[in-house]
Order: sequence, then C-alpha cells, then structure tokens
Amino acid sequence: MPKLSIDGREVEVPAGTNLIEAARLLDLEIPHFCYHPGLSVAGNCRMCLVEVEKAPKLQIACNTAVAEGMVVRTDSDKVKKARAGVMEFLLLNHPIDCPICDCAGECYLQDYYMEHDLKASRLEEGKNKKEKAQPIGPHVMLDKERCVLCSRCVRFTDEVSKTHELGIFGRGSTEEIALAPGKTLDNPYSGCVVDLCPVGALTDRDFRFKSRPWFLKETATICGGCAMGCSVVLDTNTNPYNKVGQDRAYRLFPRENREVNGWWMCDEGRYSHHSVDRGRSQGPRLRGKGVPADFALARLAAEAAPLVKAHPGRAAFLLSPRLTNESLFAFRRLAESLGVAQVEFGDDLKAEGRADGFLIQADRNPNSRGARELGLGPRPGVLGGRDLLKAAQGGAFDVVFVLEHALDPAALKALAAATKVLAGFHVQEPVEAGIYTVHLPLAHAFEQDGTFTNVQGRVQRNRKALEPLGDSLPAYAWAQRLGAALGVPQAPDGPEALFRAWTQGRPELAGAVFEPLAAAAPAAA
Amino acid sequence: MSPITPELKARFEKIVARYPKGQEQSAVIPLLHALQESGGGHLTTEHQQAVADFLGVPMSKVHEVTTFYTMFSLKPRGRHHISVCRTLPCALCGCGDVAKAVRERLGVGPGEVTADGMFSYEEVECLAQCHLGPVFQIGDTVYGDLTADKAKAVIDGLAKQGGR
Ligand code: SF4
Ligand code: SF4
Ligand code: FES
Ligand code: FES
Repeated sequence: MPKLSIDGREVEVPAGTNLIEAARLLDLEIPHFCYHPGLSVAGNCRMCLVEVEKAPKLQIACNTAVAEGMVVRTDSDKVKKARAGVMEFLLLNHPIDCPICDCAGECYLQDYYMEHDLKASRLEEGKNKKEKAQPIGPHVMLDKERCVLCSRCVRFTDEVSKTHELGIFGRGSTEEIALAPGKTLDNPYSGCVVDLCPVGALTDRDFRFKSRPWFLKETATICGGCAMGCSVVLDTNTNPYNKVGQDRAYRLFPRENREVNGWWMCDEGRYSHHSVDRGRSQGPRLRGKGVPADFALARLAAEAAPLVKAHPGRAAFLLSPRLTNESLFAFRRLAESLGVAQVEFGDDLKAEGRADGFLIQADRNPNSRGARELGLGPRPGVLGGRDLLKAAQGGAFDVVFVLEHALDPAALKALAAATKVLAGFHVQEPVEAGIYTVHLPLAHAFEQDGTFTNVQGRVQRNRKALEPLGDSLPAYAWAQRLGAALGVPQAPDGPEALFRAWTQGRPELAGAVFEPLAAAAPAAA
Repeated sequence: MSPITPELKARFEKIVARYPKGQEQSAVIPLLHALQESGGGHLTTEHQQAVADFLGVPMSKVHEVTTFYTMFSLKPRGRHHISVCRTLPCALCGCGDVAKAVRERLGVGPGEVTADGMFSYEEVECLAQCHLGPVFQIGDTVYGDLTADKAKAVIDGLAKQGGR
C-alpha cells in the first residue's frame, strides 16, 4: 500500500485511492463539487485543486491517484488562491438567492464561500438569467440559475438509474442542465439527484419549503419499505402548525452503506415517511368502540384467558414480517408461556411487488428473513398463514391474534364469525376495526427501537425518531401488557434486553451489540 | 416515418464503419452533419432521435452535441446563414463593428431569420481564421479582413444573386 504525506501527515492507503478519499482518512476535507464516490470521476469543477510536489501545476485531487512517497499540500497559498478563483467563476452568474432557496444551510456553495472565498463579486455586467422553479418530474424541481454544472445528476441518470433523462445542453455561460427532448425525470430512483446536487438547483418537491434543514433532527435508521432495508436518515422536527403537537417526520434520505444501498434509495421508500401520519390507528377499540387500553386489555383477558387456558391448541398468533426481531421474539415468548404452539408470521400473506434487480425487492416487508430465522415460518405441526386462515374460518380456533396483516374484509368477516375472540394489532387503522373483538394500535417503525434482518441476512438497527402517536405501542410492549393481563407475566424487557435474548445461542451473531457506537452521522459525500 | 432514407442509411453505415467497434458513439457528429445537409439545413427532434437510435446512444448525448456546436441548427435557417466570429482575436480587430453592420443591414438579431427567408444571422466562437479577422462565414465560405462596408457589400451581392 502506497504511503504518502498530506499537509505533512503520513497516510497509507490502498493503491488506486484518489487524493480526496486519502485526505478523508486524515479527516481533511478537500473541497469538491463534481466528485462523488458513487459516480464516475468527471473532473470538471476544479474545486479540488491541490499541490503535488514535483508537479508543475496544481492537480485535481479527485482524479489523482495516490503514489508512494507523494507529497501533497492542500493548504498552501497557491491552493487557497486557486480555490478562491474557482469560487469566483462558479458564482459569476449565480443568483445568490439563498434566502428563498431550499438548499440554504446544506449547500456546498454557501459552505465553500465562507471557507474559501469571502469576496464580493467583481462582475460589472448583468448576470445571465435562466429558468427557475421548473418541475422536471414528479419529485424534482430544477432551478437552472443555481446549477454549478457539476454533472452529478447527469452521471446519476446515466450510470446508476441508467435512464438518461438529463443532459448539459448549450455552451459557455448559457450552458444549462435540462431534460433531454421528450423526457421527464420519472424513474424509480429520481429523488437521489436531489441528494447528489451540491447546490439548490435540484430540490425535492415533497420537502420544498417545509422546513429549514437546521431545524431538523437527524436519526440514522433503516427504510422499512422492502426487504432491502436501505440505510437512511430520518429528519424530524416539531411543527408548530400540526395538530399533533409532537415531532413529525419531514424527509428520508439515504445514508452511505456500501454493503446495502451504496448512496441511494428508491422513491417509494423515500416518500414512505408519510405513512407515519397516514390513517394511523391511535386508540384501543373494543368491538369498534374507542376505550382506554387497560379496559380493552382487561376485557380481552376476561374473554380469552379461560379459552386459551382450557385449549391452548385452539389459540393462534399470526405475526408479521413487518415486526422487529425483538417484537417477534417477545410474542414468541408470550405464546410459549401460554402453551400456544400455533405462532407463525404469515409469509404467504405478505405484501409483494416487483423486484428491479437493483435495490427494490419483491418482498415489501422489512423483516421476512428475521422472522424465518427466528423459526416463525410454517413448520411441522404449525400452519402457514393461508392454511391458518382456512382452518380458523372452519372453526379450528377459539382465539386468534392478528398482527400487522391487511386481511381482506371478506376473509376477516369469515374469521371473526368462526372464532370466539379475534384480537388485532395494526399500525394503520383497519377499515374493519369493528370486526375485531379488541383492536390495539401499533407504533410505527419510526417510533421504536429494534432490529430488522434484511434480505442479505444483515441484522440492522432500526432507531426510534418519534414518540408513538396516540396510545400506540411497539408490539413487544403489547406482548408484555397482554402477558400480564392473561396471567403469564413477561419480563419487562426493553428492545435492548430482547435483542440480547434472541441473539443468544446464535453463533453467527456472537458479540453483536444493540447500540453500535453512536448512531453514525450521515457521511458527507 | 424515419428521417433516414435508404440512401442516407447506406451513408450512415459507411461513416460508422470508420470507427472502432464499441465506439460507434464517435460517429455522432458526422451523422448529424449528413442528416442536416440532406434534411433541409436544420435538425429536428426526430432527426436527433433517429441518430441516437441508429447509434444506440441516449438522446441526451446527441442533444448535448447539437446544442453545443453552432454548426448544427435546431431551427430553420435562411438560405444564406451568416456566422460572425466574436472571439477575442476578431474582437481586437473590430468584429463588433462588423457584427453591428450585418445586424443593421439584415434587421435581425442572433438566431433570427430575415422575413424573406434569405438570411439568418448568428454570432459564433472562433472560426480558426484569426489571421484574417474580423471574419464571418456564409455557407462554406469564410470572408476575412472585413469592415462594416465590406460586410454589407458581401450581403448586397448575395441578395442580388437571389439563389445560392
Ligand atoms: S443540477 Fe445540481 S447536480 Fe446537476 S449539474 Fe447542476 S449543480 Fe450539479
Ligand atoms: S429499496 Fe426497499 S429498503 Fe431501499 S429505499 Fe426502496 S423500499 Fe426502502
Ligand atoms: S471534484 Fe475534482 S474537479 Fe470537481
Ligand atoms: S477569433 Fe475569429 S476566427 Fe479566431
């Protein structure tokens, strides 16, 4: 591995590494616009110029590979002057409309201006005018004046989404980013160009003008939109105008994870944060009527406990691939202490879509693999989801607990008719909530800690960013309260203790910790 | 209907064969030239799409080329297309006066066509004839050492001729 020195500090990196990445290892940021680790090197912005000993001119760090004995300076006067010069050119025709720009506060131009430029414009002629606030697709707005022509967005559509909607058209100072004739920026990953854009030229139509980024709180978590479990950041904030009076979700964007999603996520996942406020089930219901949780649990216990005790074989739990490993484990443990064998996660009932061979998985649930690995799939003596429903509709069970399954109303009616007690637990209020003897609200994935096991078998940490809405609780908490009500008290374990419990005796997870370091901050790319 | 006639297709194939396999994209410019010449002096969206499809490259890449080079026109031009060089060497030799004279003589601005369809006007970057500056190009002919009067005389001559 070549050893080199950057600003007098030695660093050893694999051959082929470029100077921006090598400097990052020393916590040195070489300013850059066009370079992005997930895209090909374009070398067009010239912001990353550095001094390399023995090279007569400054070199662009993004396209200079390390070499043994290389001596690099990123802080010399020559470099500083070059950066200021590049900034002056980039700002030549820039409208400087930061006060009305959604990117303000997370804009490379702003940061680099403060760090490397700090001069007034010397341009005496008027600035070029270009189109502003043009919708270029369902999710993205384009402001051509703010663009620094780094071509990141073009390379994304050429290299990652491979949809080729964008190009740099024209020439000279009137050159601009635009859609190719006849195209709209409408691909399953289109929102990624907003993350990539170093300035406010591309903004998110969903997030635009909703909040200044400096008011947002970041939580590093996982997207639950499909079995891929992309690493994401969830931004939350109190909104003085919402009726809820507590923090709400503002946006989701990808967090670098080279093992799973790289730097990307799909649009479906990105805008899924609205689900935390959509049709939520917020209060316990007894035969459709809103009641306090304790009352609902007491009634449920009064009706179900004798039946379960008398015939544990006539009770069933239908769990879900949408629950965390910790909640699945808690319900499995509850079923065990009740002597109920029929505990399964309804693999054959779950939501499926189409896989795209990139990130999006056909399985639109975050934890099917986790449920399978916890031994909750169909197995000898235990019915799979469809068979269970069929048997239950035929009267094989007295008590059925259904967690997070959007069953169709006809099936649900048949189920309710054939059982004595039907308990439901959902994040979203089912249209037929009144069919359930008791219905209890589940917390959204954003409102709880836990883990999901993605399609690759990675056990990934889901982090709580919001307080549960209304009376909703994570499923593991309902399992504990249910246990107490049914006369089989459960250990009052939080998600961390549950994690330790279910990972015990799993050699491949030996040494796994629930809280790995601090929640890694999203890396600036 | 594809704008690529059988004759044009044969010509395209011959052009593409000049480039190494896998680098067919290199043929974008000569194909566009061929199409512009045969297709009435300018390139429509369909023309550009046809070249993109023929070479198997995205439309965006073809459109980047047609919008970059002033040799390609995306809208109809006059019978005589006048490109006045406005780059530094010509500017030092006084192309500003020449450009002004041409604009006044024609009564149109950059990118515009005279009402009778005879002339179109454009200001372009260096035409690689700096030693003759100020210069303009009309069709395939470059006129050098221009002054405002000489430029007007050239245009008057063409106007009198009428056709090409
Ligand atoms: S729109 Fe943004 S990402 Fe695209 S070229 Fe301009 S500055 Fe770069
Ligand atoms: S691919 Fe799946 S996990 Fe990734 S963002 Fe999309 S829905 Fe979420
Ligand atoms: S980051 Fe190196 S030239 Fe743009
Ligand atoms: S500057 Fe006019 S031809 Fe070169």
